Amino acid sequence: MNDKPWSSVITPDDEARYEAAGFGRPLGIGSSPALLIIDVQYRTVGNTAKPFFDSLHDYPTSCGEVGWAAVERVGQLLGAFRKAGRPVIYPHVAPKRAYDAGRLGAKVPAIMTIDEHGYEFVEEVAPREGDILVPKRHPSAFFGTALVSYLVDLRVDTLFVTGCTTSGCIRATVVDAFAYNFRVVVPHDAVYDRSPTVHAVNLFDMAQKYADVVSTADALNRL
Amino acid sequence: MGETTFAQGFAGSLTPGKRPALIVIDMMRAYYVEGSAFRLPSTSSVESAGRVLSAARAARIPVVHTRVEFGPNAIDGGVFVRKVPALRALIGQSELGRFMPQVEPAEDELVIVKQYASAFFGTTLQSTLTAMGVDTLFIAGVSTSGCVRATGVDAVQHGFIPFVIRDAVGDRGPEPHEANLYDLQAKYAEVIGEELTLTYFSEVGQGA
Repeated sequence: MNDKPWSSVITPDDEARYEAAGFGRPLGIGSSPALLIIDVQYRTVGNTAKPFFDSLHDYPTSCGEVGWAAVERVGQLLGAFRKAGRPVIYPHVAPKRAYDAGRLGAKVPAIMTIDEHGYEFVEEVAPREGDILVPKRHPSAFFGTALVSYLVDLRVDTLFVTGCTTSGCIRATVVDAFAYNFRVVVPHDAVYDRSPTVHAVNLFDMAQKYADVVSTADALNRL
Repeated sequence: MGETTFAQGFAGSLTPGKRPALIVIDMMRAYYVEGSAFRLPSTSSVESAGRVLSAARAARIPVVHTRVEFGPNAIDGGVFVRKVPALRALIGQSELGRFMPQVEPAEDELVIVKQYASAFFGTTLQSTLTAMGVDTLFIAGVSTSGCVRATGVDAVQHGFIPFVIRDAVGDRGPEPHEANLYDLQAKYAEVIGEELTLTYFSEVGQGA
């Protein structure tokens, strides 16, 4: 009945509180969108589609088969953006060196164990010549990168944010994009996380505060 | 303004985009009144900025003003205030922190209060310009070697096309003024005169 992606965890009472307070109004799409594909590398989905716990044998940072399902949707959006000649941008984590550990390495030691293949882009949605690659070291694609310069220079006004993880780099990037006054669309089936509950709650938060959260099918219709 | 159009008079390598804005940086009394440690030798920069400001308003070009204000005991001034203790004159709502009458902000113009040199640092300027769809930033204000230069560098780093208005920026001496305009022109911005700026603003105002 309720087809919202968070309906399994967010109660009608929760929804009513936000509705009564006036959250979650739609932002809409501007005239100049760009697609962000964040961290869709083998380290976040595993080498092949497998259930979550099996996928951890490929990479401890893998989200497993939910990631592969999202990759298919990312591919649909990528096709539409390429066809329209709109910018496609790949914020991604570059291979870690020992000196990169910092606080994030202490908090999540698994990120320091990934081999070179883990950092390669998933072939189905890999960048091609002319796409913008943005290496990053922290969750937000804006932190310590030139991403905002590219967006201003390209006169982008709307970001479609895809990839992973919903609670990590997607949310951090969405909050910063919103703070910079870009319109933000999160296609909920084109982002993924290792926990379905965490995925759902973060989609709910983003929909209430920062972004339009829609299905990929809806997003493609509205483009 | 003579017969020269903006396109004819302009020889630099950057050209303005589709939507300019004017930023007037730190044109507070501290830089112009007698007895202030920051006083400049001339008021010509603020006279020029006043004319540029009027032209921007007439052309409906958005205007942003900045000024400096520190909290109690300049606790938010950090090392900057240790380096330049005279900045303590700008603690709270001081007389020296008020705008010069030539560039007094209109009621519907944004005033950004900042603590450091660049108007982008620790402020929401980038977000505001993005929301307005601005792609080009005309810069007036003081001082050339300090906040003007820092803002010019940050403007280009953030993806905007910076134009520094030579006559509407000022410094304590001609050497730092000229040296910094030279660097800005060479590396980050186009440095243009007031007259060409007024011509461009009037062309924008006429929808040219």
